[in-house]
Amino acid sequence: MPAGIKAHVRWCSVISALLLCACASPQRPLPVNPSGTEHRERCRLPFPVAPARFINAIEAQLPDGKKMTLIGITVIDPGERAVRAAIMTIEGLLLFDASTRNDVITLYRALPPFDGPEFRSALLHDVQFLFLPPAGEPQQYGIVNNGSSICRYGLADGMTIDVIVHPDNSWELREYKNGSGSTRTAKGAAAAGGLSGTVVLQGLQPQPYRLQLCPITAETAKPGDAR
Amino acid sequence: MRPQGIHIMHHARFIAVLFCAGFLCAGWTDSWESIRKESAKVSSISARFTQTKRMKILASPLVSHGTFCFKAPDSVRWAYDAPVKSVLLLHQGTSRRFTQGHSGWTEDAGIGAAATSVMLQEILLWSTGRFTESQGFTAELLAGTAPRIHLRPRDSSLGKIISGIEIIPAPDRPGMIQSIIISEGAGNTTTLDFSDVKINVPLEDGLFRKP
Repeated sequence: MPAGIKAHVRWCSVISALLLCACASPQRPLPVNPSGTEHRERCRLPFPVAPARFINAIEAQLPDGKKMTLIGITVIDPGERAVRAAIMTIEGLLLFDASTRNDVITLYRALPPFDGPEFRSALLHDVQFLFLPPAGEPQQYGIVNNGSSICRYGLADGMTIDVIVHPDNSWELREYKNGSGSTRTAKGAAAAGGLSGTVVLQGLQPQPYRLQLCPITAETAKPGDAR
Repeated sequence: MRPQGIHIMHHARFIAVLFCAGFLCAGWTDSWESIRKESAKVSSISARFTQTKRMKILASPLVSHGTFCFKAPDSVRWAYDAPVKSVLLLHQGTSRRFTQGHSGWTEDAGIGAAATSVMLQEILLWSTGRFTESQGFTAELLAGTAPRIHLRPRDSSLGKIISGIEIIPAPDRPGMIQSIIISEGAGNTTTLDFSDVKINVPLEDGLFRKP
């Protein structure tokens, strides 16, 4: 097999392994103790309220403990619920660039193995999950037993998202399918120095994976930048 | 196997080509023959580099810094200091990539590991000044008062990844490169600017073994 083909096969294997890594077990929904509207307001804390641009180092952990690191660029416009996301290598090769608004995906660039429709949809879903608050108002809000604020959002597709903000302003997002175990979770440190903290995203279904986002820069974006 | 595999291979080759091409041809670019002749005299290279990435999604360029080292016959160290600490090592036929994360230096099992083995082959090719023998790119030498080399992908599939490369030798420093501009299309470019270039200085083998 030519060296270049071998290289590609190994590269694709890494991506496949990334999607297969088992990193966490599904979590059950926490009971919500209804409480004051201040808890509903605290649930907005993890999400930017204005157009913003984030550059992160993305550390992906593989099933055998090995890691790969890429650079992610994300532009979000909460008002339009629009997201644009790009992934590049540390050496500067742009691997993926796409945006989504009103569930319409626009693909600008996708190199293999990032060029499959499932990948682009899943990636943009992850970005929306992390950077945009769930659509609509929470069906329930209040506190959980440890005193953290919680808001529970029911989505049109039958999914449920819990936004949990702890007393120290660190936060968690948990996505459930039909009230069963979590399908996707995220944990974020409190913002510091103008940068949001490190975020760990774990997808659990249909195949587990883990991504750790370490902030490089965060800045205000202009309306329309996310298109 | 889909042709995309070739794309990745060519990108890896292309990166390697850029570094070596830049250092080897600048300042004496009258002919390919003179490049080949002069490149044979290079036993080592050490330089700082600044990588400037421009994309539509960015409001301002993303700038990275690092150090590039080459030691004949087959050792390369390509190290980024910021914004992400990363080291790409090629030594005695073995390629490894490390990234510094929360738990210290860890070996990267991903893109770097696969690509570097291909990069090594291209580095060796270009280290001997054989630009025109690249399987991925055609090379055009533009001599004159502002000499430069244009590299263009040989096939359209590679052209979807890299639309072109421009290598600009330093006009006042024979043997040195000023800039390399990589175009990916749609206004996306990566510019590499080199500084503090040192040729034929002693470089310890340990540099090429671990971060």
